[in-house]
Amino acid sequence: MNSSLSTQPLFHVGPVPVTNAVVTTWGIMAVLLGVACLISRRLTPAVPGRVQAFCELFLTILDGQIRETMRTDPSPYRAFIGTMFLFILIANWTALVPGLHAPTAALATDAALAGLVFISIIVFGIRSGGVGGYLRTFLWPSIVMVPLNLIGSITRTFSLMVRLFGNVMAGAFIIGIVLSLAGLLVPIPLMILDMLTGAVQAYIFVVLAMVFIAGALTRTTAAASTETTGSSS
Amino acid sequence: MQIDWWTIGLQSVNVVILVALLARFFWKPLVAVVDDRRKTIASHMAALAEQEKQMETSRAALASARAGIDAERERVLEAARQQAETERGAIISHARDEVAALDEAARKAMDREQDERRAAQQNEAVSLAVDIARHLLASTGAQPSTQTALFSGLVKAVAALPDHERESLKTGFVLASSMDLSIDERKKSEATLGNVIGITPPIRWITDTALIQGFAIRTSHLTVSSNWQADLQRIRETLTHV
Repeated sequence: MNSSLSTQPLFHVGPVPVTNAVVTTWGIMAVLLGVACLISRRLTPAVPGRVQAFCELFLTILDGQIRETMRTDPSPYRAFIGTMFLFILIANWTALVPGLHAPTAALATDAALAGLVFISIIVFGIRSGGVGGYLRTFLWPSIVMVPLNLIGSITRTFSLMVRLFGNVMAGAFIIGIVLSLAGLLVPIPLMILDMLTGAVQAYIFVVLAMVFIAGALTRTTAAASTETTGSSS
Repeated sequence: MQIDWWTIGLQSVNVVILVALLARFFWKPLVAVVDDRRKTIASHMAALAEQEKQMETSRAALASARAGIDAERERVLEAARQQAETERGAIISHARDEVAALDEAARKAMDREQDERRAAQQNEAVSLAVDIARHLLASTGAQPSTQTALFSGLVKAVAALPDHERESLKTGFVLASSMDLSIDERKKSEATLGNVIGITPPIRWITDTALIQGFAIRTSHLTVSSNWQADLQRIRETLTHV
Protein backbone atom coordinates (compact mmCIF):
# COMPACT_ATOMS: atom_id res chain seq x y z
CA MET A 1 0.00 0.00 0.00
CA ASN A 2 1.35 3.37 -0.99
CA SER A 3 1.33 6.16 1.54
CA SER A 4 -1.29 8.82 0.99
CA LEU A 5 1.24 11.41 1.97
CA SER A 6 3.24 10.60 -1.13
CA THR A 7 1.87 10.65 -4.66
CA GLN A 8 3.10 8.47 -7.44
CA PRO A 9 2.29 9.73 -10.93
CA LEU A 10 0.64 7.31 -13.31
CA PHE A 11 1.95 9.15 -16.32
CA HIS A 12 3.19 12.53 -17.36
CA VAL A 13 1.68 15.06 -19.75
CA GLY A 14 4.70 17.09 -20.59
CA PRO A 15 6.13 18.26 -17.30
CA VAL A 16 2.82 17.67 -15.53
CA PRO A 17 2.61 14.43 -13.52
CA VAL A 18 -0.85 12.88 -13.56
CA THR A 19 -1.57 10.96 -10.41
CA ASN A 20 -4.15 8.34 -9.60
CA ALA A 21 -6.25 10.91 -7.71
CA VAL A 22 -6.36 13.15 -10.76
CA VAL A 23 -7.47 10.35 -13.02
CA THR A 24 -10.10 9.27 -10.55
CA THR A 25 -11.22 12.87 -10.29
CA TRP A 26 -11.60 12.99 -14.05
CA GLY A 27 -13.68 9.87 -13.88
CA ILE A 28 -15.85 11.35 -11.16
CA MET A 29 -16.21 14.52 -13.18
CA ALA A 30 -17.25 12.53 -16.22
CA VAL A 31 -19.81 10.54 -14.25
CA LEU A 32 -21.22 13.62 -12.56
CA LEU A 33 -21.34 15.55 -15.80
CA GLY A 34 -22.94 12.66 -17.68
CA VAL A 35 -25.56 12.11 -15.00
CA ALA A 36 -26.19 15.86 -14.81
CA CYS A 37 -26.69 16.10 -18.57
CA LEU A 38 -28.92 13.04 -18.54
CA ILE A 39 -31.04 14.46 -15.76
CA SER A 40 -31.13 17.94 -17.26
CA ARG A 41 -32.32 16.57 -20.58
CA ARG A 42 -35.27 14.85 -18.90
CA LEU A 43 -36.26 17.74 -16.69
CA THR A 44 -39.88 18.75 -17.13
CA PRO A 45 -41.93 21.47 -15.48
CA ALA A 46 -44.89 19.12 -15.42
CA VAL A 47 -45.18 16.18 -13.07
CA PRO A 48 -41.58 15.20 -12.20
CA GLY A 49 -40.24 11.65 -12.20
CA ARG A 50 -38.53 10.00 -9.27
CA VAL A 51 -35.05 11.16 -10.29
CA GLN A 52 -36.18 14.72 -10.92
CA ALA A 53 -38.13 14.73 -7.68
CA PHE A 54 -35.03 13.54 -5.84
CA CYS A 55 -32.91 16.24 -7.52
CA GLU A 56 -35.48 18.93 -6.68
CA LEU A 57 -35.63 17.67 -3.13
CA PHE A 58 -31.83 17.82 -2.95
CA LEU A 59 -31.92 21.35 -4.38
CA THR A 60 -34.54 22.43 -1.87
CA ILE A 61 -32.57 20.98 1.04
CA LEU A 62 -29.35 22.55 -0.24
CA ASP A 63 -30.98 25.97 -0.61
CA GLY A 64 -32.50 25.65 2.83
CA GLN A 65 -29.16 24.69 4.31
CA ILE A 66 -27.40 27.63 2.64
CA ARG A 67 -30.17 30.01 3.68
CA GLU A 68 -30.09 28.83 7.29
CA THR A 69 -26.31 28.79 7.57
CA MET A 70 -25.35 31.88 5.59
CA ARG A 71 -28.50 33.94 6.19
CA THR A 72 -28.54 35.10 2.57
CA ASP A 73 -29.93 34.26 -0.83
CA PRO A 74 -28.53 30.84 -1.84
CA SER A 75 -28.38 31.44 -5.60
CA PRO A 76 -24.80 32.89 -5.80
CA TYR A 77 -23.37 30.04 -3.68
CA ARG A 78 -25.53 27.15 -4.80
CA ALA A 79 -23.31 25.91 -7.64
CA PHE A 80 -20.08 26.07 -5.63
CA ILE A 81 -21.43 24.58 -2.41
CA GLY A 82 -23.56 21.98 -4.14
CA THR A 83 -20.83 20.86 -6.52
CA MET A 84 -18.28 20.65 -3.70
CA PHE A 85 -20.66 18.48 -1.70
CA LEU A 86 -21.43 16.15 -4.61
CA PHE A 87 -17.77 15.86 -5.59
CA ILE A 88 -16.54 15.17 -2.06
CA LEU A 89 -19.36 12.71 -1.44
CA ILE A 90 -18.71 10.76 -4.62
CA ALA A 91 -14.96 11.01 -4.10
CA ASN A 92 -15.28 9.66 -0.56
CA TRP A 93 -17.43 6.77 -1.75
CA THR A 94 -15.06 5.96 -4.58
CA ALA A 95 -12.91 4.03 -2.14
CA LEU A 96 -15.71 1.46 -1.92
CA VAL A 97 -15.32 0.62 -5.59
CA PRO A 98 -12.74 -2.15 -5.98
CA GLY A 99 -9.58 -0.96 -7.70
CA LEU A 100 -10.23 2.69 -7.13
CA HIS A 101 -8.81 5.04 -4.54
CA ALA A 102 -10.68 7.96 -3.11
CA PRO A 103 -9.21 11.20 -4.45
CA THR A 104 -9.99 12.79 -1.11
CA ALA A 105 -7.67 10.24 0.51
CA ALA A 106 -4.85 12.09 -1.28
CA LEU A 107 -3.60 15.18 0.52
CA ALA A 108 -3.22 17.13 -2.72
CA THR A 109 -6.95 16.82 -3.49
CA ASP A 110 -7.94 17.94 -0.01
CA ALA A 111 -5.46 20.79 -0.26
CA ALA A 112 -6.96 21.79 -3.57
CA LEU A 113 -10.48 21.72 -2.12
CA ALA A 114 -9.45 23.70 0.94
CA GLY A 115 -7.58 26.12 -1.27
CA LEU A 116 -10.69 26.62 -3.38
CA VAL A 117 -12.68 27.34 -0.23
CA PHE A 118 -10.01 29.81 0.84
CA ILE A 119 -10.16 31.54 -2.53
CA SER A 120 -13.96 31.48 -2.54
CA ILE A 121 -14.02 33.20 0.82
CA ILE A 122 -11.89 35.98 -0.62
CA VAL A 123 -13.90 36.18 -3.85
CA PHE A 124 -17.31 36.22 -2.18
CA GLY A 125 -16.06 38.63 0.47
CA ILE A 126 -14.73 41.06 -2.12
CA ARG A 127 -17.89 40.66 -4.23
CA SER A 128 -19.96 41.45 -1.17
CA GLY A 129 -18.09 44.45 0.27
CA GLY A 130 -15.29 45.30 -2.14
CA VAL A 131 -11.57 44.91 -1.56
CA GLY A 132 -11.52 47.49 1.19
CA GLY A 133 -14.50 46.00 2.86
CA TYR A 134 -12.99 42.54 2.75
CA LEU A 135 -9.68 43.73 4.11
CA ARG A 136 -11.42 45.59 6.87
CA THR A 137 -12.91 42.28 8.02
CA PHE A 138 -9.48 41.44 9.37
CA LEU A 139 -9.82 44.46 11.69
CA TRP A 140 -12.82 42.86 13.36
CA PRO A 141 -13.40 43.13 16.26
CA SER A 142 -10.32 45.38 16.69
CA ILE A 143 -7.06 46.12 14.97
CA VAL A 144 -5.26 44.02 17.55
CA MET A 145 -6.94 40.96 16.10
CA VAL A 146 -5.45 41.43 12.62
CA PRO A 147 -2.62 38.90 13.08
CA LEU A 148 -4.93 36.38 14.65
CA ASN A 149 -7.50 36.87 11.89
CA LEU A 150 -4.85 36.40 9.24
CA ILE A 151 -3.55 33.28 10.93
CA GLY A 152 -7.08 32.07 11.50
CA SER A 153 -7.99 32.40 7.85
CA ILE A 154 -5.04 30.20 6.95
CA THR A 155 -5.29 27.70 9.75
CA ARG A 156 -8.96 27.07 9.20
CA THR A 157 -8.11 26.25 5.59
CA PHE A 158 -5.54 23.80 6.85
CA SER A 159 -8.04 22.42 9.32
CA LEU A 160 -10.48 21.79 6.49
CA MET A 161 -7.83 20.00 4.51
CA VAL A 162 -6.48 17.92 7.37
CA ARG A 163 -9.93 16.99 8.71
CA LEU A 164 -11.11 15.66 5.39
CA PHE A 165 -7.82 13.99 4.57
CA GLY A 166 -7.48 12.39 8.00
CA ASN A 167 -10.99 10.94 8.10
CA VAL A 168 -11.02 9.62 4.56
CA MET A 169 -7.48 8.31 4.69
CA ALA A 170 -8.11 6.68 8.06
CA GLY A 171 -11.20 4.96 6.71
CA ALA A 172 -9.32 3.75 3.66
CA PHE A 173 -6.47 2.54 5.82
CA ILE A 174 -8.73 0.70 8.22
CA ILE A 175 -10.66 -1.00 5.42
CA GLY A 176 -7.41 -1.92 3.71
CA ILE A 177 -5.89 -3.35 6.88
CA VAL A 178 -9.03 -5.29 7.81
CA LEU A 179 -9.37 -6.53 4.27
CA SER A 180 -5.80 -7.79 4.29
CA LEU A 181 -6.29 -9.50 7.65
CA ALA A 182 -9.84 -10.86 7.69
CA GLY A 183 -10.81 -11.66 4.16
CA LEU A 184 -13.84 -10.72 2.11
CA LEU A 185 -17.01 -10.19 4.21
CA VAL A 186 -15.61 -8.74 7.40
CA PRO A 187 -14.87 -5.25 6.02
CA ILE A 188 -18.50 -4.77 4.88
CA PRO A 189 -19.69 -3.13 8.14
CA LEU A 190 -16.62 -0.95 8.05
CA MET A 191 -17.38 -0.07 4.42
CA ILE A 192 -20.92 0.91 5.41
CA LEU A 193 -19.45 2.96 8.22
CA ASP A 194 -17.05 4.47 5.70
CA MET A 195 -20.02 5.48 3.52
CA LEU A 196 -21.55 7.20 6.51
CA THR A 197 -18.26 8.82 7.37
CA GLY A 198 -17.78 9.96 3.79
CA ALA A 199 -21.26 11.54 3.73
CA VAL A 200 -20.73 13.18 7.09
CA GLN A 201 -17.33 14.50 6.08
CA ALA A 202 -18.72 15.93 2.84
CA TYR A 203 -21.49 17.58 4.82
CA ILE A 204 -19.06 18.93 7.42
CA PHE A 205 -16.74 20.25 4.74
CA VAL A 206 -19.43 22.22 2.93
CA VAL A 207 -21.05 23.41 6.14
CA LEU A 208 -17.73 24.76 7.35
CA ALA A 209 -17.16 26.32 3.94
CA MET A 210 -20.57 28.00 4.20
CA VAL A 211 -19.77 29.20 7.70
CA PHE A 212 -16.43 30.67 6.61
CA ILE A 213 -17.94 32.35 3.55
CA ALA A 214 -20.86 33.62 5.60
CA GLY A 215 -18.40 34.97 8.13
CA ALA A 216 -16.68 36.96 5.45
CA LEU A 217 -20.03 38.22 4.16
CA THR A 218 -21.26 39.13 7.62
CA ARG A 219 -18.10 40.88 8.65
CA THR A 220 -18.02 42.74 5.34
CA THR A 221 -21.57 43.89 5.77
CA ALA A 222 -20.95 44.82 9.42
CA ALA A 223 -17.79 46.74 8.53
CA ALA A 224 -19.60 48.58 5.72
CA SER A 225 -22.47 49.49 7.99
CA THR A 226 -20.04 50.66 10.69
CA GLU A 227 -18.25 52.81 8.16
CA THR A 228 -21.54 54.28 6.93
CA THR A 229 -22.64 55.06 10.48
CA GLY A 230 -19.30 56.69 11.30
CA SER A 231 -19.30 58.86 8.18
CA SER A 232 -22.88 60.00 8.66
CA SER A 233 -22.29 60.92 12.30
CA MET B 1 6.58 14.18 2.48
CA GLN B 2 6.63 16.50 -0.43
CA ILE B 3 3.94 18.82 -1.64
CA ASP B 4 2.72 17.86 -5.06
CA TRP B 5 1.89 21.28 -6.41
CA TRP B 6 1.04 19.92 -9.85
CA THR B 7 -1.61 17.66 -8.40
CA ILE B 8 -2.95 20.41 -6.22
CA GLY B 9 -3.19 22.66 -9.22
CA LEU B 10 -4.75 20.01 -11.43
CA GLN B 11 -7.27 19.07 -8.78
CA SER B 12 -8.11 22.73 -8.24
CA VAL B 13 -8.65 23.22 -11.93
CA ASN B 14 -10.65 20.01 -12.10
CA VAL B 15 -12.97 21.11 -9.31
CA VAL B 16 -13.35 24.59 -10.78
CA ILE B 17 -14.21 23.07 -14.15
CA LEU B 18 -16.64 20.70 -12.47
CA VAL B 19 -18.26 23.58 -10.63
CA ALA B 20 -18.60 25.52 -13.87
CA LEU B 21 -19.96 22.57 -15.84
CA LEU B 22 -22.44 21.50 -13.21
CA ALA B 23 -23.52 25.10 -12.79
CA ARG B 24 -24.18 25.22 -16.52
CA PHE B 25 -25.67 21.78 -17.11
CA PHE B 26 -27.20 20.80 -13.79
CA TRP B 27 -27.91 23.53 -11.33
CA LYS B 28 -29.18 26.12 -13.78
CA PRO B 29 -31.75 23.86 -15.55
CA LEU B 30 -32.80 22.35 -12.25
CA VAL B 31 -33.32 25.76 -10.67
CA ALA B 32 -35.16 26.94 -13.77
CA VAL B 33 -37.55 24.00 -13.59
CA VAL B 34 -38.14 24.53 -9.89
CA ASP B 35 -38.64 28.25 -10.43
CA ASP B 36 -41.06 27.55 -13.25
CA ARG B 37 -43.01 25.23 -11.02
CA ARG B 38 -42.94 27.76 -8.21
CA LYS B 39 -44.15 30.46 -10.59
CA THR B 40 -46.87 28.15 -11.84
CA ILE B 41 -47.89 27.33 -8.30
CA ALA B 42 -47.74 31.01 -7.39
CA SER B 43 -49.91 31.90 -10.39
CA HIS B 44 -52.31 29.14 -9.47
CA MET B 45 -52.36 30.37 -5.89
CA ALA B 46 -52.92 33.92 -7.13
CA ALA B 47 -55.73 32.66 -9.36
CA LEU B 48 -57.16 30.75 -6.42
CA ALA B 49 -56.88 33.85 -4.26
CA GLU B 50 -58.60 35.87 -6.96
CA GLN B 51 -61.30 33.24 -7.26
CA GLU B 52 -61.64 33.20 -3.50
CA LYS B 53 -61.92 36.98 -3.51
CA GLN B 54 -64.55 36.80 -6.24
CA MET B 55 -66.36 34.10 -4.31
CA GLU B 56 -66.21 36.31 -1.23
CA THR B 57 -67.58 39.20 -3.26
CA SER B 58 -70.29 36.98 -4.70
CA ARG B 59 -71.03 35.66 -1.24
CA ALA B 60 -71.32 39.20 0.09
CA ALA B 61 -73.56 40.17 -2.83
CA LEU B 62 -75.62 37.04 -2.25
CA ALA B 63 -75.91 37.83 1.44
CA SER B 64 -76.95 41.38 0.59
CA ALA B 65 -79.49 40.13 -1.93
CA ARG B 66 -80.74 37.61 0.60
CA ALA B 67 -81.10 40.38 3.17
CA GLY B 68 -82.99 42.42 0.58
CA ILE B 69 -85.20 39.45 -0.21
CA ASP B 70 -85.84 38.93 3.50
CA ALA B 71 -86.71 42.60 3.93
CA GLU B 72 -88.96 42.46 0.86
CA ARG B 73 -90.58 39.29 2.17
CA GLU B 74 -91.17 40.92 5.54
CA ARG B 75 -92.58 43.99 3.84
CA VAL B 76 -94.88 41.91 1.62
CA LEU B 77 -95.97 39.80 4.59
CA GLU B 78 -96.65 42.91 6.65
CA ALA B 79 -98.64 44.45 3.77
CA ALA B 80 -100.57 41.21 3.29
CA ARG B 81 -101.16 41.02 7.04
CA GLN B 82 -102.45 44.58 7.11
CA GLN B 83 -104.60 43.97 4.03
CA ALA B 84 -105.98 40.80 5.56
CA GLU B 85 -106.68 42.67 8.79
CA THR B 86 -108.45 45.43 6.85
CA GLU B 87 -110.44 42.92 4.83
CA ARG B 88 -111.29 40.99 7.96
CA GLY B 89 -112.51 44.17 9.63
CA ALA B 90 -114.51 45.07 6.53
CA ILE B 91 -116.00 41.58 6.32
CA ILE B 92 -116.85 41.63 10.02
CA SER B 93 -118.37 45.09 9.71
CA HIS B 94 -120.30 44.06 6.62
CA ALA B 95 -121.48 40.91 8.36
CA ARG B 96 -122.51 42.92 11.38
CA ASP B 97 -124.41 45.33 9.12
CA GLU B 98 -126.06 42.43 7.35
CA VAL B 99 -126.93 40.79 10.62
CA ALA B 100 -128.29 44.08 11.92
CA ALA B 101 -130.26 44.56 8.69
CA LEU B 102 -131.56 41.00 8.85
CA ASP B 103 -132.37 41.48 12.50
CA GLU B 104 -134.17 44.74 11.73
CA ALA B 105 -136.01 43.19 8.80
CA ALA B 106 -136.95 40.19 10.90
CA ARG B 107 -138.07 42.45 13.70
CA LYS B 108 -140.11 44.53 11.25
CA ALA B 109 -141.54 41.41 9.70
CA MET B 110 -142.43 40.11 13.11
CA ASP B 111 -144.02 43.46 14.01
CA ARG B 112 -145.86 43.49 10.73
CA GLU B 113 -147.04 39.96 11.17
CA GLN B 114 -148.01 40.79 14.70
CA ASP B 115 -149.93 43.88 13.50
CA GLU B 116 -151.56 41.92 10.73
CA ARG B 117 -152.41 39.16 13.14
CA ARG B 118 -153.73 41.70 15.59
CA ALA B 119 -155.72 43.45 12.80
CA ALA B 120 -157.03 40.15 11.58
CA GLN B 121 -158.04 39.21 15.09
CA GLN B 122 -159.62 42.63 15.49
CA ASN B 123 -161.48 42.25 12.20
CA GLU B 124 -162.65 38.87 13.25
CA ALA B 125 -163.70 40.32 16.57
CA VAL B 126 -165.50 43.18 14.83
CA SER B 127 -167.08 40.84 12.33
CA LEU B 128 -168.08 38.60 15.16
CA ALA B 129 -169.49 41.55 17.07
CA VAL B 130 -171.34 42.82 13.99
CA ASP B 131 -172.65 39.38 13.27
CA ILE B 132 -173.76 39.06 16.89
CA ALA B 133 -175.43 42.47 16.66
CA ARG B 134 -177.00 41.55 13.33
CA HIS B 135 -178.35 38.34 14.76
CA LEU B 136 -179.60 40.12 17.85
CA LEU B 137 -181.27 42.84 15.72
CA ALA B 138 -182.67 40.27 13.36
CA SER B 139 -183.99 38.24 16.23
CA THR B 140 -185.68 41.24 17.78
CA GLY B 141 -187.58 41.95 14.53
CA ALA B 142 -188.45 45.17 12.74
CA GLN B 143 -189.87 47.90 14.88
CA PRO B 144 -192.14 50.48 13.18
CA SER B 145 -190.70 53.24 15.23
CA THR B 146 -187.23 52.20 14.23
CA GLN B 147 -188.27 52.05 10.59
CA THR B 148 -189.77 55.50 10.85
CA ALA B 149 -186.64 56.88 12.47
CA LEU B 150 -184.44 55.24 9.85
CA PHE B 151 -186.64 56.65 7.03
CA SER B 152 -186.35 60.09 8.56
CA GLY B 153 -182.58 59.61 8.54
CA LEU B 154 -182.80 58.63 4.85
CA VAL B 155 -184.73 61.79 4.05
CA LYS B 156 -182.19 63.88 5.91
CA ALA B 157 -179.36 62.17 4.05
CA VAL B 158 -181.02 62.91 0.71
CA ALA B 159 -181.54 66.48 1.78
CA ALA B 160 -177.89 66.71 2.71
CA LEU B 161 -176.76 65.50 -0.70
CA PRO B 162 -175.12 67.96 -3.05
CA ASP B 163 -177.58 69.48 -5.51
CA HIS B 164 -176.35 67.68 -8.57
CA GLU B 165 -176.56 64.32 -6.85
CA ARG B 166 -179.95 65.10 -5.51
CA GLU B 167 -180.99 66.23 -8.98
CA SER B 168 -179.78 62.90 -10.37
CA LEU B 169 -182.31 61.18 -8.20
CA LYS B 170 -185.10 62.78 -10.19
CA THR B 171 -184.57 60.28 -12.95
CA GLY B 172 -185.56 57.45 -10.65
CA PHE B 173 -183.91 54.99 -8.35
CA VAL B 174 -184.29 51.75 -6.50
CA LEU B 175 -185.53 52.02 -2.96
CA ALA B 176 -184.63 49.00 -0.89
CA SER B 177 -186.44 48.30 2.34
CA SER B 178 -185.68 45.78 5.00
CA MET B 179 -189.30 44.81 5.17
CA ASP B 180 -192.27 44.83 2.87
CA LEU B 181 -194.30 48.01 3.13
CA SER B 182 -197.90 48.51 2.33
CA ILE B 183 -199.01 50.57 -0.63
CA ASP B 184 -199.91 53.45 1.57
CA GLU B 185 -196.69 53.39 3.35
CA ARG B 186 -194.86 53.34 0.04
CA LYS B 187 -196.83 56.29 -1.31
CA LYS B 188 -196.36 58.19 1.85
CA SER B 189 -192.64 57.54 1.73
CA GLU B 190 -192.48 58.50 -1.99
CA ALA B 191 -194.25 61.73 -1.24
CA THR B 192 -191.87 62.58 1.56
CA LEU B 193 -188.89 61.90 -0.69
CA GLY B 194 -190.52 63.85 -3.51
CA ASN B 195 -190.74 66.85 -1.23
CA VAL B 196 -187.09 66.71 -0.55
CA ILE B 197 -186.01 65.96 -4.15
CA GLY B 198 -188.46 68.36 -5.69
CA ILE B 199 -190.56 65.94 -7.72
CA THR B 200 -191.74 62.43 -7.11
CA PRO B 201 -189.38 60.34 -9.19
CA PRO B 202 -190.13 56.84 -10.49
CA ILE B 203 -189.22 54.49 -7.65
CA ARG B 204 -188.78 50.73 -7.86
CA TRP B 205 -189.32 49.15 -4.48
CA ILE B 206 -187.39 46.04 -3.43
CA THR B 207 -187.16 44.18 -0.18
CA ASP B 208 -183.65 43.51 1.09
CA THR B 209 -183.53 41.75 4.43
CA ALA B 210 -179.80 42.18 4.51
CA LEU B 211 -180.44 45.76 5.56
CA ILE B 212 -181.78 44.39 8.90
CA GLN B 213 -183.61 47.60 9.58
CA GLY B 214 -183.97 50.67 7.39
CA PHE B 215 -183.76 51.81 3.79
CA ALA B 216 -181.30 52.35 0.97
CA ILE B 217 -181.56 54.40 -2.23
CA ARG B 218 -179.52 52.87 -5.04
CA THR B 219 -178.74 54.28 -8.44
CA SER B 220 -176.12 53.32 -10.90
CA HIS B 221 -173.64 55.65 -9.27
CA LEU B 222 -175.07 56.59 -5.95
CA THR B 223 -176.15 54.83 -2.80
CA VAL B 224 -177.84 56.59 0.11
CA SER B 225 -178.14 54.32 3.11
CA SER B 226 -180.01 54.62 6.32
CA ASN B 227 -180.13 51.16 7.75
CA TRP B 228 -178.48 49.09 10.38
CA GLN B 229 -176.41 47.15 7.92
CA ALA B 230 -174.75 50.38 6.83
CA ASP B 231 -174.46 51.50 10.44
CA LEU B 232 -172.85 48.24 11.44
CA GLN B 233 -170.57 48.51 8.42
CA ARG B 234 -169.49 52.00 9.48
CA ILE B 235 -168.96 50.79 13.03
CA ARG B 236 -166.85 47.94 11.68
CA GLU B 237 -164.82 50.29 9.55
CA THR B 238 -164.37 52.68 12.43
CA LEU B 239 -163.25 49.91 14.78
CA THR B 240 -161.02 48.43 12.11
CA HIS B 241 -159.29 51.75 11.51
CA VAL B 242 -158.82 52.26 15.19
